[in-house]
Amino acid sequence: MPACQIMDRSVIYASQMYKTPLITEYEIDINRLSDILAFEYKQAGLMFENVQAGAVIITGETAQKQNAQTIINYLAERAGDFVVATAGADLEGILAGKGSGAKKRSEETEGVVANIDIGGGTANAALFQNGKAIRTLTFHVGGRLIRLTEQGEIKYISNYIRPWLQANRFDLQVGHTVSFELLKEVCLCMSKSMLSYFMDGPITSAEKLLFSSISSPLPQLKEIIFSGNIGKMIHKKEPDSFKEVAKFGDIGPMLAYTLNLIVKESSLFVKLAKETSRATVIGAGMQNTELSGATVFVNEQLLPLKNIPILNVFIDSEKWESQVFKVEVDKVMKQAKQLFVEKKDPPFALGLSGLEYCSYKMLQSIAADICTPFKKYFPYSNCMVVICENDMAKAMGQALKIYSSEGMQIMSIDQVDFTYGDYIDLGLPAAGEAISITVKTLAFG
Amino acid sequence: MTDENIANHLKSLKKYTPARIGVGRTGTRPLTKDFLSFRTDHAAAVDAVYGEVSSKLIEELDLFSVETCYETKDHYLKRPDKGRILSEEAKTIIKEKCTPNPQVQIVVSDGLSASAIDENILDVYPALLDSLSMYGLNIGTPFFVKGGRVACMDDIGEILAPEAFILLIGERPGLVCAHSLSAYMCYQPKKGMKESDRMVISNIHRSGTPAIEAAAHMGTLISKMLDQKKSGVGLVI
Repeated sequence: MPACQIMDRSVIYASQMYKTPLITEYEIDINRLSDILAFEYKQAGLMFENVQAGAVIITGETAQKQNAQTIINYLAERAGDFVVATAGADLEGILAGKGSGAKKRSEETEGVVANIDIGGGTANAALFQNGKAIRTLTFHVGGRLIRLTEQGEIKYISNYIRPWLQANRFDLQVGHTVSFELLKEVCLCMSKSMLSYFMDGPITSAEKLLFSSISSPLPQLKEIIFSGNIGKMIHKKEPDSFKEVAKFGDIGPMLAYTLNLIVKESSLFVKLAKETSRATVIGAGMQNTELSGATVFVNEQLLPLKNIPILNVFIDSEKWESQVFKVEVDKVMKQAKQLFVEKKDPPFALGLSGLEYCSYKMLQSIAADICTPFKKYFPYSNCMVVICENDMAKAMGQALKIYSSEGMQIMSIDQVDFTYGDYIDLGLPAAGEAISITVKTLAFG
Repeated sequence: MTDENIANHLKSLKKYTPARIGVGRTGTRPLTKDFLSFRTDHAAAVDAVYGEVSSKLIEELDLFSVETCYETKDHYLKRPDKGRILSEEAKTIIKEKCTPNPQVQIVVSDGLSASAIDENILDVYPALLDSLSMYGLNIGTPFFVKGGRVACMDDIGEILAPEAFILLIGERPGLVCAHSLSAYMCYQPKKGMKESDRMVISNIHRSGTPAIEAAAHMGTLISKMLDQKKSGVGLVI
């Protein structure tokens, strides 16, 4: 069937970068943040109402602040009409990998390409193969985990890295002055520990830098890309004094240098990032909006619909049996009812993956088998959302319309890549019938 | 590149096309298995052209059958113009059995591939009826045309004067797929109409355009034709 694709994306304005405005160590300053936002919108020559889709991504340590959720909501209401709010290390890592060009690179080359986005507090790594994210992991590695003055006096040590420092017998204390050699040694060891995961396997106590433990070793890498603020500095020459190391008041420049040193000694091939400091933001823009298949079954009046959780049933066309499907779909609906206790409408989106070929008979049977349990588990609902992996949404929508109760609103879209537990936003029609969609992959396995 | 690399690369390229690429050779000749599959596909294409649509299937769909002036398959292939006009007998039967001036007239024809109808019609046809009735359209008396070409819709249009027309017809078979179906659609078919006023959803088969989705979309296109009172390149989709 006719297909619509996003052909081009371009950056029309990039703001300057700000340090996160904080009231206290634990609280973000909403007022100052909204001033920044208003100022930058004005600089860009944009009104809030011009923005049809947007993404708010609160990353790293900022996401841990007490009022992070309030901020997301605040920005979501003001930054534009249809805003996606996401946070979480896995997603950040993937977004950065898209923005830095790692995902694209993995399409062009055989083998696995890793992107490590290193900022102030965390390093988010994502591994890509054939254009798909296959693994993510996060480390407590970043420039601002240790802060110091130009004289070498330590001003701050993040609690997240204390266990690792201890395990490696690095005696650093706030208020003390550290020697240049020791500081370099710490950065070298931190770089070596993190990168050991991507090389020959973790070295001693490297796991203390991991955000959460990993279940299986990483696949063999071919190329590595560094993004983020640290990634930006990676090819700089060695800082030779405290003055150069501490020019941002932290260990960032030294960490960048030592990372490069370790990689250069390895067999890994380092690719230059297309974007460094802004990789996550650019990646978010790319991820943000995609298009559904061109033939869909929707009631435009009900759009947009945001944050619908997807639970899916896999159907193997060759082995499809009505009885088996009936049991499966009942199980999923029951689960949806237990998981999403709040009576939202639509309660969830039923994903139909697989099903590469669907006959008319199968279509009728599947539609009937979806409508019966839906009515049983969600009697209050007036809106059913079905998301098909393959091109069949309009046919599925029409069939569901026939089998559902009178007045039920059917939203059926297709050609969406999703996995169990993703969330989806259904946006407005963007090209013909195709609607803009955003799939938010939060859990990742 | 190592041999293994080349093999992997070829494998990924082959994912993009069902065409016969990277089939290999022995000396100056193709491998036996590739040669045989080529011959099999060619035979399937010939069968599709010379085959006949199962009469049971036509009965099952509750269609009556008429013929164009094609006379024989060989004649049909040499004289495409004969497949565009109905026999006198066909005209009489159609006038007698069909409701004139329907909103939508559906016609099924073997065209160049009888197996296209055999393979796909049970998915396309009922889904199409569902789709049209969802748009609240009234459907004329459908029938089957043996030995039809795309433009036979013009001749039928002269007799029944439907508002919109859908012709489900077997496509010229290729060596990848011999049972691909097309749906040609137009607003008010008549003699001398421009090709640019026809619309088509093509490549309907198991590994091509999904039959049910194509049928569902036909309903949308037809309803747009009726709203805008036109078809083809001028239709706003």
